[in-house]
Amino acid sequence: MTQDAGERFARDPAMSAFVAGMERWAALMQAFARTPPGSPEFQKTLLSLQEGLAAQLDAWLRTSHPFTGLQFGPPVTPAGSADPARAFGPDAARIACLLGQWVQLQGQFAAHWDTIGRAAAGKFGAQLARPASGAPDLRKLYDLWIDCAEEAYAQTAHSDAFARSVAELVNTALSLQIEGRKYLQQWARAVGVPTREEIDALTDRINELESRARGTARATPSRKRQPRVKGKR
Amino acid sequence: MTSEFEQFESLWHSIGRRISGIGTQVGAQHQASPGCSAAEVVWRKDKAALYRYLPLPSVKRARTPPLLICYALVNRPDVLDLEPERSLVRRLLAAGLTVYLLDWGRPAESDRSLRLEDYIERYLDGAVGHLLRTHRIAAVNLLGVCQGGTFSLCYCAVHPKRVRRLVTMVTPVDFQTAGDLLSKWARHIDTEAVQQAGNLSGASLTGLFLALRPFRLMQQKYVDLLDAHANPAALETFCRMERWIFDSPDQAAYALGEFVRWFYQENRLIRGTLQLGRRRVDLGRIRQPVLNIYADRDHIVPAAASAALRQHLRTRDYSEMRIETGHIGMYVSRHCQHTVATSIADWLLRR
Repeated sequence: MTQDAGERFARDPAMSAFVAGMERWAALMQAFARTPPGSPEFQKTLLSLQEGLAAQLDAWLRTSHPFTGLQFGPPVTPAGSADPARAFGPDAARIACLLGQWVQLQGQFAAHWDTIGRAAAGKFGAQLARPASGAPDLRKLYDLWIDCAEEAYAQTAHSDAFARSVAELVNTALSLQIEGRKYLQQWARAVGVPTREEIDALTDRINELESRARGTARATPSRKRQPRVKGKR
Repeated sequence: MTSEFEQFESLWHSIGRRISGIGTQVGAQHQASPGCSAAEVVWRKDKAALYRYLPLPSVKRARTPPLLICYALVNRPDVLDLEPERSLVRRLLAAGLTVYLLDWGRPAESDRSLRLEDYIERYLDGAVGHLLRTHRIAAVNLLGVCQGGTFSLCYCAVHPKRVRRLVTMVTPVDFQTAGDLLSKWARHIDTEAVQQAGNLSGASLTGLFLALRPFRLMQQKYVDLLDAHANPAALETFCRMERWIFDSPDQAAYALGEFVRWFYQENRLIRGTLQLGRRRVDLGRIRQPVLNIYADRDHIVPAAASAALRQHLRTRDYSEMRIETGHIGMYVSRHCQHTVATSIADWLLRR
């Protein structure tokens, strides 16, 4: 059981990206640790470290950030169809437009990730360039790196441009989901299966009837004895 | 230095296997119960269930109405009763309180048309009604947690006579404070599309919360395990937390659309423009004692968003506690739980 779980863990793309990122981080820090502070090589290594870290962060965000992952991705096109235009029939133009928007938004996020990666590496580099009081501690350096990354991320994530990208991504993913549902409804109608709309209409009807029944029950004075209230006589 | 790096890397490679193994074992042990304490279902309505926690042996029962916990629709309430050493519920029981929990259940696609009014007026009111009947009392004590606190405020404002005392915990009240990242992101979301698209998957919602602080929540906490890898109890706690974080139920489409529009986009609760059905939700109608507990490093519900409550109530008996922790720490930190549970129990018993 444990082995299976371990294999599943290894196959998880986000976890694999994370482990790869950690390995890259450890390699960069190893290179950095070999360079004595104040030596002529130090500034060069620092620059190379910053570039490496920015690239690592950018790569991780591209593969693992929830906004670029599957949660907010486009729905799967009907099985066996590589051409959404053919699969979705008359709604094809709308679907194609939405898919184009989704790809464009991923481009916007790629630009945000690039900004965050560079800013985080810059902040980290600035911290490392300060005279150190003692020998570098790997864990403290890692925590410092995360602090810098979160700070850089927050600066971008709080911007209006990022908020608009998030909303557009969510709205596009929702629109794609709605179009996918429309297609399935058409298919259900064609084969005589109750559609979501019909089931929802029935559910709404039941809810409305229950609501009316509750209103009637409240309006009708109860014949039962009122419950005894503690502390009152 | 190099040997430390080697150790770091080898530990990292082995740790994934260990986490997964323990996670699977913990998962297998926690399939049915809403937490670790013994509880029984005493009332049901649709998928909502009211749990009564069994009193702890040899604990003298306190003379106060039962405490009903109203949790959020987001994530499961298990976190309030994660394990014996990290259980707010258990600490409240140990203080002699009679504790109930309203579990909203997991909405299916057929529940997509549930409204906020259904959650508050059917399920919460139904659970309160059950307690009033079975305990033969006029009002319960209500503890609202996170979004459940917002619901509790709405309920209290609409049915002030049915709540004796109200405790809100990490509860958003002002949904548009300056540091509220979730609010900024939610401002331009098309809520009609949210309602049309069907239930939002729990995984999407989890992703949204992780996106608030991706490096801490998706990287650093796993590296923190390096310090805990030799401690099986710490690993088990970690896995329970992981299971809870990634176990968010789907969100009923209409209720979610309403919540985003009415609260995040229009801030109706503090503007006094919120209505549940035909009833206006006026926070000024809350006259009973209120204890408002919030976290000063909360990245989901900023402290300012909770602290805003004091400006909108007319009760003369308002107390607040600002705890030095984050949103999740409020639920699971042992220190916080001790402080919070003791404070809640003392506050309830003093009134």
